[in-house]
This record gives sequence, C-alpha cells and structure tokens, in this order.
Amino acid sequence: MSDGEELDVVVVGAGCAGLACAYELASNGLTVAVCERGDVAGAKNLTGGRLYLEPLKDLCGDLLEGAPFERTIVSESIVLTHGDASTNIRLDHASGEDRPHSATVLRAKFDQFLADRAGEKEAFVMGEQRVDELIREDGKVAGVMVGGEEVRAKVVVAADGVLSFLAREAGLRKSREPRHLGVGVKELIKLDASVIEERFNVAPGQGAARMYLGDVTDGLPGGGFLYTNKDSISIGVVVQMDELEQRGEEDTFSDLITRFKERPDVAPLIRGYELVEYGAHLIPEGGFDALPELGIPGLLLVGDAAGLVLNTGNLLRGMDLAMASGVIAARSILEFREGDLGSPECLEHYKKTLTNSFVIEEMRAHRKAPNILSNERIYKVYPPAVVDMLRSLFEVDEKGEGVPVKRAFKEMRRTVGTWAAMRDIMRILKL
Amino acid sequence: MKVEEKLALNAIKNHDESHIVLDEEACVRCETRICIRACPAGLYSVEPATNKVIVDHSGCLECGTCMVICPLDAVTWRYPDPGYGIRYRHG
Repeated sequence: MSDGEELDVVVVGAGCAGLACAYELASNGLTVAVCERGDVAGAKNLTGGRLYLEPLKDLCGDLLEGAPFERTIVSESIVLTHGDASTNIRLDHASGEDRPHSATVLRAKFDQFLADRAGEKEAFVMGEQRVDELIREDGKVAGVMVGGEEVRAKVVVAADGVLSFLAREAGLRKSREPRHLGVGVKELIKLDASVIEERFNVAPGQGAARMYLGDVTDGLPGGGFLYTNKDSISIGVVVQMDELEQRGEEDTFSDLITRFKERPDVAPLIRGYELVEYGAHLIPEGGFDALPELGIPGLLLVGDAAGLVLNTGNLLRGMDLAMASGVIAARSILEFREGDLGSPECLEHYKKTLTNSFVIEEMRAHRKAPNILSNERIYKVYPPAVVDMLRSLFEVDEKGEGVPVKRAFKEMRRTVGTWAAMRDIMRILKL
Repeated sequence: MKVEEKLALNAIKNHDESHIVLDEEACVRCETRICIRACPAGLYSVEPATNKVIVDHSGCLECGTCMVICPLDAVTWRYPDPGYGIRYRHG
C-alpha cells in the first residue's frame, strides 16, 4: 500500500456505512481500500440493536443476501416504568421470515460478513490500520496517513464513526456537543434460544424488541432497551449526555443497568443468564439541525460520522441510514469515475443526492424530535401518572372499595396538569 | 456485579501507555468532575492522598464520553494504537 500507487477510493472505518460503500464501489470496478483501526471489521463497533431492512432493499439487497441476522422482530413494546410497576403498549405482528421488516444483529459477526462480501468484490479490507490524519493537496483531500505511511486516493470516505476525528480535522465539525449525544451502555447476556422463544412467546428465528421509559433512567431523557438475538439478549440503557450531570455521585452506569435487570418486569425474562460482554458507545442524536457539512472536496462523510441517526421515540434508526449513505456516496463517486472523483462537483452530487434521499428527508421531517424527546416530563411525569392511574383502577382497598374510573382519571389529570399535558401531546403529535 | 468484574469479561489488550491524558492543572480547577460519574467503565476516580482526578485507561470501552463531556477540554483522547484496546467479540 505504500508503493505510492494511487487508489480510487480509501474508506476509513469498516463499519456498516464504510463497508456498504466499499462493496458498491468495488462491485463497479473501482480500486478501494478500507482502513480499520480494530484488528478486524466490527472489533470496535456496538449496536443496541436492530437493523431496519425495508429501506435497504434496493440499495443493499445483494450485499445483505445471506447476512447473519440474529432474529426477525415480530414483537414490539414500549414499557412505561414506575417503581415495581409498569404498563406497556405492545404490538405482535406476524411479518415473519419471508417479509422481515427489521432484524437484530451483533456487529462483530455482521460487520465481518459485510467485510467478507466487500472482499469478494476485491475491496481491500485491512485491520490494524489507524488513520491519523488527512493528506491535503491543491485545496482538496488526497489521501490519508496511516502509521506514518501515505495512502493516496482520489477520494476519501470518512466512515469513522460518531467520534469522527476526520470530520473534525476537516473543519466540518468543531467538537461534539453533549446535548447532541446519547451515551449507550449495553450488556450482552447469553440465554438458550429455546428459553428466549418461550419467554418472549416467539417462534425460532423470531424475536422481540422492548423499550423502557421512566425510572429506568431515573427519569432522565433516555431509556432502557432489550433486543433478543439468536441465543443472547442485548440489554442496556441510553442517556442523553448533557443530563448526566444531574445524576447522583454514587450512581454509575453499571448500577443503572444492574437495577434495570433487577426490575420485576425484566428479571424473569432474563433469569439464568450469563453476562459475556459489557460495552459502551455514543449515539449522535442531535438530528437534522445538528448535521455537519457532509464533506470537503475529496472527503465525503457517511454514517455516524455524518451524524445520520434518527430517534423519534418509537423508532431508533442508525444502521440503515449508515448503509444507505454509504451506497449513495459510492454512487456519487461512480458518477464521476471518468472525471475527478475528488472534485467539488462530486461532493455536491453526494450532498444533493443524500439530501433528496429518505436518509435526510426523514431526518428533516423529524427535526423537532430531539427537542421534544428532551422534555423531561416524558420520563418523569407521565410514566408514574399512567402507572399509578392504572394501578388504582385494578386495586380494591381495605374498606372494600375500588376507585371509580372517573376519579382515577381526575387524579391523573391533576398530577400531569391538564394544559401541560395537552401541550406535550400536541408537540408529540407534530412528530 | 461491579463494573470491574464486567470489564474483566471483555476481550481487551491494554497498552502500557495510556491513550487518555488529563490536563492536571485544569482538573484541579474542575468543580464538576463529571468524568467520574459519566465514564461507563468507571475508569475515573479521585486519588485520596492528593485529591487529584486520575484515570486508569485499562478497560476503556473507547466510547469517548469523557472527551466530549469534559467542560474544561482537559481530556486528550485518541484511539489506542493498532492491535490494542477493546475488541468486541459480539458488539
């Protein structure tokens, strides 16, 4: 790689954005190298998580053929927690094997699969290659420096994740702002496949996704999550970073997960588990209004590096946007294969296509979501109010009396504040 | 289960040299010491004898929270050298 020969494209980061990009480029005959700082693809990557498949049918259908999905999600639930009680909205659907709309993945396996597929198309995916800086020449990016060696390319794709030091070096982002980031902490716990299927009432190959709001995060913006994999469960919490200051001195993230796992509505689901991995990762949750410029001539940002994550409260999407952006960047580069891949025109083409694609369209449509989801009432006021209201409806006191429905509602209205609740509901409906 | 015990389950190769360097002068002035609560791996602590904030890089999950959240920009953080640091076996 150091013989001075110029590649068409160097992709920085073997995650799902970078590998989808490399696969598309290499399939169309360009010379591509992917520099990954970990030993292998996926070594530094973490997801909650699930991948939404429908948006990728056209863009990545071929690449995802035979991908190692853990389970197809057929059961969704949002759980409101308060103390030892909870209530939930749940949807069980039978989208099934033939038409899965989302599937759980584990990144070590999944990214390695993508790397192998890109390798089959003769992209060079190389581990232990940490990119330290950009090479700039004649007002554009002309390659990267890896361990003191020059790797020259006509265009560089920065798929270097949420911390993207390359975006920062290129001046595309000053620094990361805590209010635009979620801190996700996850445990991977082993459980037999048959046990998972029994406890979540799903068939082999099918799985469940659960989101928890309320005191799982001590009432701070964020939530708990649980996704079933083949023979393991991904369980964890996400908290908005700028809210961390409000947490108690002694209360660590690890304690938060431990308490979450001990909840009476969670513990029976995971009983007998074996913890095998503990991880943490940041999530760019600033949405449309926090998007950086998408590149400079010779450098295109994709995936988390470009801040392409959409959290609407009911959907949390990152990997599908990442893969889509990788393919869209590749197609823009391919448009200019006879000309200058590093030209400002190529960058403009990418910006325009991505902006007109579902990736940024959806983020724009939900641009108010980060603001609305920062509303502490969603986490602090509503879960207890709803749980307490339901609890009062299902209880009989020592005098032999139950609470009339009317009084239960009145009590809830008093706790949440009728007008404040109306305002919050109106805001959420605008999402 | 303590966070140290959880970290001990991970596949990780710690470098002798830390990839996290603190600006001690800034840390002395710091009132929040938010890094201690924010680090998901619990790597930050106060050295009792000196009351200084210290960080033990071994076990780092490479999330970058400390670097971003530090109000005084006192955390110099880079990716560990190739071949070192966390290697997620599942992710």
